[in-house]
Amino acid sequence: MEIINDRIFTTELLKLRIESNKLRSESHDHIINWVDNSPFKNSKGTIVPGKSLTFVLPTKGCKYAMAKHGGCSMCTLPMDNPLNPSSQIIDSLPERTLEIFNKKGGVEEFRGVKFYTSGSFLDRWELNEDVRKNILRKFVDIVDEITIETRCEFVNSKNLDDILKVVPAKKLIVAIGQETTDDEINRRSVNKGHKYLQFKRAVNILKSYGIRTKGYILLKSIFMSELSSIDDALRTAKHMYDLKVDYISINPCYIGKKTLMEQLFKQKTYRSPWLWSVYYTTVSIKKLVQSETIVICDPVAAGSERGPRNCGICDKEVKQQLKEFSSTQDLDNLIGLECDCYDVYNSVLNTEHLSNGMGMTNIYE
Amino acid sequence: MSVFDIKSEIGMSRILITKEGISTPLLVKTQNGLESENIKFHQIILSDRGYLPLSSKLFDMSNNEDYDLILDKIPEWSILTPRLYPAGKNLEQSLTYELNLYLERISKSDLPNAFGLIYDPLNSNFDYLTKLIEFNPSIIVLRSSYMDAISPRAFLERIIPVINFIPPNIAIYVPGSGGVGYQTVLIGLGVSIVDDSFAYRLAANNKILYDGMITKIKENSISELVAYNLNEVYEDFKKLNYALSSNNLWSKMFKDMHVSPKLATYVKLIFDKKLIEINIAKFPTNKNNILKFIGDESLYHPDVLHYQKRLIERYNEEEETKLIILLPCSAKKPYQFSRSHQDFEKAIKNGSRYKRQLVSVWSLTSPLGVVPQNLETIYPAMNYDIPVTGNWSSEEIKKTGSLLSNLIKKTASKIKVIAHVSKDYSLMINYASKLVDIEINWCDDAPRTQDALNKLSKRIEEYLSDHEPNIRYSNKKIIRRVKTINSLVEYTHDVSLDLLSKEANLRIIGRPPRPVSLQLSKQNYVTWDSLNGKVTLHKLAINEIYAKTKNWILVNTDELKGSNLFGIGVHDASTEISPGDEVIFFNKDKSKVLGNGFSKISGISMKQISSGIVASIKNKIK
Repeated sequence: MEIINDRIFTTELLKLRIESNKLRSESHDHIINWVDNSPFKNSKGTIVPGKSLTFVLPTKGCKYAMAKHGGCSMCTLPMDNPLNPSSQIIDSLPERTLEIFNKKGGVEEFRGVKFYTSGSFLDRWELNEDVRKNILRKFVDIVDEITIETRCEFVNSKNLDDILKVVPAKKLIVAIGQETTDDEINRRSVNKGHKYLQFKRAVNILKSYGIRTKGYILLKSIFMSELSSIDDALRTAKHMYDLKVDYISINPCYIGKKTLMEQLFKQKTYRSPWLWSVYYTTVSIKKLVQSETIVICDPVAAGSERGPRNCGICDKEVKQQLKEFSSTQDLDNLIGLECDCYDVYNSVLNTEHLSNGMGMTNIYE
Repeated sequence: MSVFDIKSEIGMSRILITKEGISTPLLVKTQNGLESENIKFHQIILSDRGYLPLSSKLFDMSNNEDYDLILDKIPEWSILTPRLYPAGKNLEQSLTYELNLYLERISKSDLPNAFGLIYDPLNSNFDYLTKLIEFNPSIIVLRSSYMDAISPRAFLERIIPVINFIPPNIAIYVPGSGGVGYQTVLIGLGVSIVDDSFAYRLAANNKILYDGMITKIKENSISELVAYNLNEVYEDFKKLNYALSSNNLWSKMFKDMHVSPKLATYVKLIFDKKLIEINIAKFPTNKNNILKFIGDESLYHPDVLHYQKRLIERYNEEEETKLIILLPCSAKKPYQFSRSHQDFEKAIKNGSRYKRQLVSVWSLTSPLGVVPQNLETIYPAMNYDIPVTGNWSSEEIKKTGSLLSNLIKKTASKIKVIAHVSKDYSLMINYASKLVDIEINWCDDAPRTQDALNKLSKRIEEYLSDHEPNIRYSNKKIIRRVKTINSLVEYTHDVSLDLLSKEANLRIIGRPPRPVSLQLSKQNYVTWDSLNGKVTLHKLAINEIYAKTKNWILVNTDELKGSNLFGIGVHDASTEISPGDEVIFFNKDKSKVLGNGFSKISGISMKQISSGIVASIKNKIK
């Protein structure tokens, strides 16, 4: 049978998204936050580890996730967000984020803040112009770096001119979850909805404003084997490097609830990546970009059944070393990691591609 | 066209070979990419951007361009893989899309000589497989769950029809299942490539493999277990190769199945599913190795089943036979040269005297069941060894007893049958005698005592007192051999030369063990090699039976050239042909006989391939 539509799988994504939306609360005001070790560049350009505070703002979450294509195949983030937060909650975000910042240690503790929304900070459907400017205004004078996340389509002059009224370009980092620069993978696996060309355009616009950029690379999306996902991550990194993206963040997949990824995981046709893959992807990308680009990898749920994992013995150490590397950018932190499971991993890496999708998940019973 | 040719076909297994001498079976190492002794496999993704190599040296890229390397040309021994693989519930249409895209991209690719394609028996049909085959791959990788992790029934149901469908000169690679025992089953089923990932997988779970058994062990590190398990897998693979080349693969399988219930399930299901019967013609009719038949499994040994099938279908008693004597088998082969059978022969002669031509001798044996004296020199009747205890298992009794009764029903329903055997055979004979009429002369434990032999002679004399030979042979001395040759030609071609009617013009030159030449009116007619039961027809004989032989090959030309026939020259072939059979060559429309020779591979396989040697040419008829 000839299938004209190459994205039939998105009907499944939509079904799951509708189910997951049923689990979301109508409105809540909870601001998720955590502290990260992050790399900061000092005036001489050398890397200095520092701390940053990350907020997940309770906006409506990603508009794209509500679209008829069901959003990204791995994304479970909107589940943290309310479906319809009141305007009072949204309007109170500038004050409340500052309050949390101060409570957690304030300027003494943090050199940077990151604002995530489980969507796009620049999407007015989530945060109107006034609120987003007010948030930035609260922090512009007390931190060195403010990171916001957005989809490509919101990177435009109108939005950038607007926020640059309150924050200087050099303090701003705009992170874009491109995930992969391979349009085939993006369209038929990640379902991201932006093409490489749109990413390129967004990066170039940001560069033209002197705003630093961060590209997210997704490691091991659905329908991909371990080896092909590493290959794709390295190719994506090369493209991002050529575009002179300032930060590359490697995000190994974890299995979120009510996602197609979870469905496949339960059917034993998907396994989250090995930490060895994460490790080598990180090392290889750093070797490529050298000191020109900061490479970050802080895998979510590492070592757990649903997260990137190795044999269980070395998981903690690999995760720790990756964190250490991310804040220092010192490759020495990653050299010399060893575990007995490495040989097993290599064997899986080379054969899984041939059997991908059929019971390859349970190497460790 | 596949770069492999069939070097030899041994049942469902085959040894493939390239012009460069790379031969299967292959055990692929999975530690540093995929590589075997002589081949480094490349994994290539067919993408919209071009050929993307999945390098095993991903982490040692020497320059920045390596990070997004796109090849202009697909290297030799590449395994081409689909872009994405959306296997999962409710994703069938997406998978269909990807698989169709895979086909489309293969068709647009500049393919190397040697390459592999991937096929998923669970999610694709035979039309799809046909399309893959049309690209002329040398390897087809079957996506499959591990043999040890899936129900044997499900595995076999998915894999077997596919293996039977794929032309035999394409190497089939089943990844992930190459453990001790399992790899023997896979190779036995027709797979040509396995890998060593099983050893790593076991070690990952602290399991150690020894003599095919698997035990959890916590004292050793994973690296130690990996090393140990790899050694076991590679040693087993070596043994498997020896077993394959000496036609002992099934004996190895029978040995291995005793250490693993799962493996035993596989082997038993292979029998239950009648997989051997479907492929029976692929099993050889002519070998010179000694088969060790130990245990009830040997009742299902493919060579035994093949022998029994031909026996029932093709063996016929001569019309003049009035009496069949059932005798015990002997350790010496052919039985007729053993001391016991020489004693029996004397007793039969004493009883029958000038009527010896009316008496036939069949030997009873397990697991073959019955071996008529005329077929004693063929494989595997000449080539087996069994433990002799005198105790028959219920399965042996049932299987051999039913074969005996079937053979009597088919060939000797009007012939008197007398069993002259010890009580060891009582259960088997009793089983058969419930189904057909057999007169039983129990000889207690000693059919060779003078007393027992005298009784036999007497009983033969009594029975034959009412029968006289209708034919008076001019040269009685050659009759036994003529009958043997007649039966052997029938066993091979399923056509009778009716030699007894020509007896007056027949002459035998030579004595066993040297080849015996049968001449008709002083012209070479049939040659018989008593050491292996092989008969070779000469022009005269070919001209007599060609219209009816089951071993026919239609050749694309009107004249045979050279000493071998190649796959490309075969227009059609009989599916009854087995490796080692004498075959008759015809032109395309079977209007002209071109000669004879011996098949190297089965007729089933000849129909599926278009390269490599399929038969040797013995005689050419102009």
